[in-house]
Amino acid sequence: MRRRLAVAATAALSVVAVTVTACSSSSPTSSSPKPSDLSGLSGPVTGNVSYESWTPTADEMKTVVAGLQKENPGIKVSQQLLPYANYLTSLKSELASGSGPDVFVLPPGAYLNQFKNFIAPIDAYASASIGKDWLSQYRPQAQDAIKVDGMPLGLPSSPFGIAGILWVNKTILDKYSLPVPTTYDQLKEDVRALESHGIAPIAFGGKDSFQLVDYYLTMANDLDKDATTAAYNGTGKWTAGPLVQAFADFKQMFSDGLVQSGALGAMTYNDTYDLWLKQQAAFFANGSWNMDMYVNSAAKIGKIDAQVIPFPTPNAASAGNVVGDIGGVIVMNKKAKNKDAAYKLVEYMSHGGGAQLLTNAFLDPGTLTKALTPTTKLTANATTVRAQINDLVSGHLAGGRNIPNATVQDALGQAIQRLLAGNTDPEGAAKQVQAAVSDS
Amino acid sequence: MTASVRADRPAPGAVSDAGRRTATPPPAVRRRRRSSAPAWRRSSSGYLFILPALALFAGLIAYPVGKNIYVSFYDWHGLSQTKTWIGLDNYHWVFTNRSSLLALRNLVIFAAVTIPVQMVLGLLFASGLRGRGPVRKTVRTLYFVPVVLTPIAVGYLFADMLEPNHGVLNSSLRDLHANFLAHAWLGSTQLALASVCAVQIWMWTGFSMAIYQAGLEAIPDEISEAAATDGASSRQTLWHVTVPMLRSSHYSLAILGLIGSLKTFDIVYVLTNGGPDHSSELPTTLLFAQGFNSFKQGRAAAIGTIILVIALLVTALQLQLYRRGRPA
Repeated sequence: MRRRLAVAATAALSVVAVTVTACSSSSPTSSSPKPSDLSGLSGPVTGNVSYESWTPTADEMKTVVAGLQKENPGIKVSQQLLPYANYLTSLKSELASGSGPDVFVLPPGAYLNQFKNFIAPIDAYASASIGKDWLSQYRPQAQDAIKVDGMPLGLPSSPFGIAGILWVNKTILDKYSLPVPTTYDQLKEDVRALESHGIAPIAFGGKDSFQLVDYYLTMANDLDKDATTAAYNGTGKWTAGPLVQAFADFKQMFSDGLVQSGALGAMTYNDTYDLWLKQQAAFFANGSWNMDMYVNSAAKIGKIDAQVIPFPTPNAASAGNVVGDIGGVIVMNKKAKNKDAAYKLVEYMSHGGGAQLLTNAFLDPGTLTKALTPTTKLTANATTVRAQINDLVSGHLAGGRNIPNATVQDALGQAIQRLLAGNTDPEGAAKQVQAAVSDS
Repeated sequence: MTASVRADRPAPGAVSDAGRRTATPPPAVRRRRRSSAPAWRRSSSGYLFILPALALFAGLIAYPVGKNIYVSFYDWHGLSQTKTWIGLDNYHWVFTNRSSLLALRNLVIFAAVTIPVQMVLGLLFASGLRGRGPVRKTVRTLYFVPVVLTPIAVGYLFADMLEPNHGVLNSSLRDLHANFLAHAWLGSTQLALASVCAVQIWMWTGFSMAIYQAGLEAIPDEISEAAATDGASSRQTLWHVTVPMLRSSHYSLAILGLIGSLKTFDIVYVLTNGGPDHSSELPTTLLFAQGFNSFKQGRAAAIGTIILVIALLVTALQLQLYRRGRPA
């Protein structure tokens, strides 16, 4: 009997112990290092680092890790790369349960704000390793994007992307002797002409909230940059006249038939991406990060004479604006055990040799003020498109594309969907977004 | 009488006619064993034996459920250390906000459409494919294949097929000169939920068929033969004899279907993500959107609690029906 009791008690206690251990989580630790602690950053470091992100691709990351290991032979990197939405869901669960990777990438804006408590501030590390002036070595937009409450939390990650642009298949337009549109009316004429040849108009992934927000912000900036910036930063109202007009213009784009059938249910990856690459649509609504087509889908894009133009907003006061942001913020987990090794990976990807490798992959303008150019050979069309994107970045960048408030960002996407579904009017959509400001 | 019966029994501990020692110990021995340990020890040993299961239940079910209910009374974005007590505000939001009311409405439509259709089709397939033979067996297997596929894979497959411009469905309709039937199946507020229901029915009809098939196997052939002898047509036999005799299968499928509808997430997430404009939103997809997109963990928890309450009510109903149907 005693033996049975002992067995039962041991079993019970072990289960309770396991359960309690599983349910517990340690509290966050302070991670502000003393300058003397960071002397090791001047040379190679050793140790294991875990990395999670949606970017870059596994092959590109392999190249980056190989480059990092050349400089730091004793460093080992384990990586997990997931599709964007799945990655953010998984990361939130991991961090909330007290675990998570040593290094991870966050979209600037709302997500960086929400995850700030899990991040080790980067300033001390970057100052010790790059120099006191490290921040000024990045583009002004990148400097702003990595800060929360004025404090830089991570380093900017490529690609520096602009949105609110239109990819044009000039091969198709030339075939039917149509001009590259510079105004909304010209775009409409092109679309009508292409319709008769069975070519879809703008391939638009309306199921993706980010696409709706990107093009709305672009249109709003075309109508009134100041009002848009104020609403974006939370100091102005989304019910301001020009912003209501932007909702109306967005709706007009759909009611004028400028997007493909069923655009509201289409995803950019891969519904509209395929329409574009298979030359079944003459225009493609997507950001400049799509330049990676010249690396990842070289054969298909090689058959297209592509161009990039700003979206021709109807009724625009000053057309030609684009919105843009860094691809992400590479950050260190507050709980990373080997912060020196973690920082080495962060810096290599953002500022060191890895940044060059990523520029070769993304073909983007980069996040550094010292512009990086791809060291790989580009096709003539890729060079042209890259130059067009760089022009837009330097002369037409109106603001960011990641609203700092997650609830407002989400509400804006939902309000546009509701508007396009015909379940509200532009005023109603604007009120819905403004209500989210009060709600958050 | 009692004495004679006792006399007929073998003596306690004696060898029976079959040569086996009887399992029942003599009453005196039983009494002695019972009294050998104090009552507290006997009962505590019982509790200790159920403690592992109880600990697992407490840690893996009771704690998360309790924590979810607790969080539902707070405004919390899910990551910070601080939460703000807001009482029943999250529940008020669930019962007044347009998106959550649409999600609850869609859940009712989804369950009301998919469960009966799956059951009817499953019954028809099970009846039609009853019997032996390689062809029937193969067809039954084919009907069952969607059940074992992962909803995510099915979702991507159908998303591709239902793509409005170059998807298989619309392309085929256009080739048949039926352009008027080609629609934006997943991109229209009128059709999105119907499309999701259709895919769900495609996935789960095979399961209903399997349950009905098992039920049909349990009905003796003589009953159908007797009905035929009495002049009943095969349709009459199905409706008046077979269907009533499959009552337990109907209950099981209805209850499993209701609980399955409450839990449906992945297929909707992949096909429409609840859109456009919440037209195919279900409580689970709204819960996810609130928790992970809007960072409103308290609202997500309130939705989760409401789903739990509905599931408990459905389970209570199931138990009630089970007790009513059980022989006394």
